[in-house]
Amino acid sequence: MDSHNPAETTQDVTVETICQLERLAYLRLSDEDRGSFVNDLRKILGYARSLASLDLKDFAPQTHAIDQDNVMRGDVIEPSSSVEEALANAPVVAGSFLQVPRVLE
Amino acid sequence: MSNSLAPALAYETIVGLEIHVQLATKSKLFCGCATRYGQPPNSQTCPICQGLPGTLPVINQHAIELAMDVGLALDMELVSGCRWDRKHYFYPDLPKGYQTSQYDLPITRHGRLEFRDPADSEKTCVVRINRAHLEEDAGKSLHGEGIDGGTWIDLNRTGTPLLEVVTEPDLRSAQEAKAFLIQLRTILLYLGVSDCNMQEGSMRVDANVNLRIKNETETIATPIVEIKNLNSFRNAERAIEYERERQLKHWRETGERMGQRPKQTRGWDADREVTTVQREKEEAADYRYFPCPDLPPVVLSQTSIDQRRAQLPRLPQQWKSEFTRTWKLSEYDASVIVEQGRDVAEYFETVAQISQDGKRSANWITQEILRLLNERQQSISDFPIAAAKLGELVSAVSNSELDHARAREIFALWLTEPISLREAKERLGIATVSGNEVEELVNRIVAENQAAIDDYRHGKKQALGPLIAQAKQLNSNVSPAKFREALLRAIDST
Ligand SMILES: [Zn+2]
Repeated sequence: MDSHNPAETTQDVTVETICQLERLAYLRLSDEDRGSFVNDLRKILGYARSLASLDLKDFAPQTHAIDQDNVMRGDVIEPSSSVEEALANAPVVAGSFLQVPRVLE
Repeated sequence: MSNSLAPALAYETIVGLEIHVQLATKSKLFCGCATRYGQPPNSQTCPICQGLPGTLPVINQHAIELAMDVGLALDMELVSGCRWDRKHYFYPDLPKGYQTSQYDLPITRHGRLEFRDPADSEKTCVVRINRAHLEEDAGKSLHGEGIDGGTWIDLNRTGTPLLEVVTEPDLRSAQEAKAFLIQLRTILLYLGVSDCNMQEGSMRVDANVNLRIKNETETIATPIVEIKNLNSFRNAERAIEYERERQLKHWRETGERMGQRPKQTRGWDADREVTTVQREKEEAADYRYFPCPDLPPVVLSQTSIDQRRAQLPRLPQQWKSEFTRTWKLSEYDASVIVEQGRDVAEYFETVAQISQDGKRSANWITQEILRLLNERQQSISDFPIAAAKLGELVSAVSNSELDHARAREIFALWLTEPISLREAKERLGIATVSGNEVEELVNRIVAENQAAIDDYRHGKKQALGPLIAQAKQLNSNVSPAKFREALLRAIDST
């Protein structure tokens, strides 16, 4: 498993970064948009980086923002949606399947 | 190219496995939809597992408990405060656009599993387990079903709890990989955490394979290939074996080493018996993992861990050592019986207790019963001859009351006739040894063995064995099954 954690990278945001994110998010942006996203993302990450200046030596690392744990349910079956409800928002339906355009493996 | 021209190469096959196991919960991991297999398409979904906005997942506690059981059985560290992460990718059967999984804080990690070395049954192999993490399954895609070759999606499976067990690359051959998988499945079945039904996809195997080739000056690693979705142990073995040969040939032709190309994903084509390229693997960072803000951490207290540990059923290894120690079975016979599952192990134990003859009991089971079960496609619980009855028969052979040939006649008769041993003997004209003083014997044994009987009352079922042996020593004519029956009655009534 790769130990690389994207949240910890400090590398600068470039047009290549935006292109990579476009590819992963299946989006297509204009050159103009790419430029403004570079600026926006730099600002956002710069702001987030200011957290690093805080003195946190008295705080244990946390994995979650909410002070709650073990919120769980018992293994009990509850009623599911009807097939009609489940398919209500689907643009294309085939029998009781959702249908999507052909997927190329 | 000709192999005879190539110098003999020293190389090792390096295999690591990833095994997805569907956990035996009634409801899904984060919602109350049922996990039943084979239901009408899209009949087991709700806004949570459909991935609709504004919904909130809630963890199924039983999935946590089953994952803990696996962790305990594989000597793993249980991670308190394990975290949930979102793994992002786009696929039509993944309605949320991410899979809720565990990235850097899995519920359990750093374990080990021992199994019999397939190349030498006297030896054991040890495989380190890197981690086992919980995640949700995706839906099912049926390709090319629609008009214009469209894909049909069934979301019933979406959100079903999976445990992904990841080994270190410690396996050294296709045969070892298969032996490991058999042992892992045996443990999971004894634990009762999954039905491990590979046809229904409850257990799916991916294998990472490469070679370490030694020449005069250095050791060269070939690029790692991941073979996806191996749906039987036989296919896993053959795919790894094929990949070993393919990589060796490819290396001889190209000299390509690890790092010179991205990790490749291949699929096993069982009809053509080849692996074929599926894709060049995306790097882990491309999944844009981040912590799921909807799910709070799961804290495992020492009390909850101790509780689960106390409730763990006897594991295959414990059954095996019990069988070799108490009943003097060979490692091999013990393994054959234990690998059949808990029901067969319990069946054997009862037969052995009643007959007091472990070796003969094992022979009847491995040579007769397992063959018949296979022929009849039957499980031991449906087998017409109950363990207590077979125990009585084995005992009679063991005491020279019957010879083996006659015992086989009785056994054959019992397959169709639900009659007692005495009746069977009469029917077949075999003289009966009778006139026992079972009750008297029971009273005497009970009086002399209070400690063993207390043990039995506290759940130590094997405490009965020595008492039956004692009774037989006192009166060699006594039917062990009748004595056992009378003894149990006496214990119940006091
Ligand atoms: Zn649901």
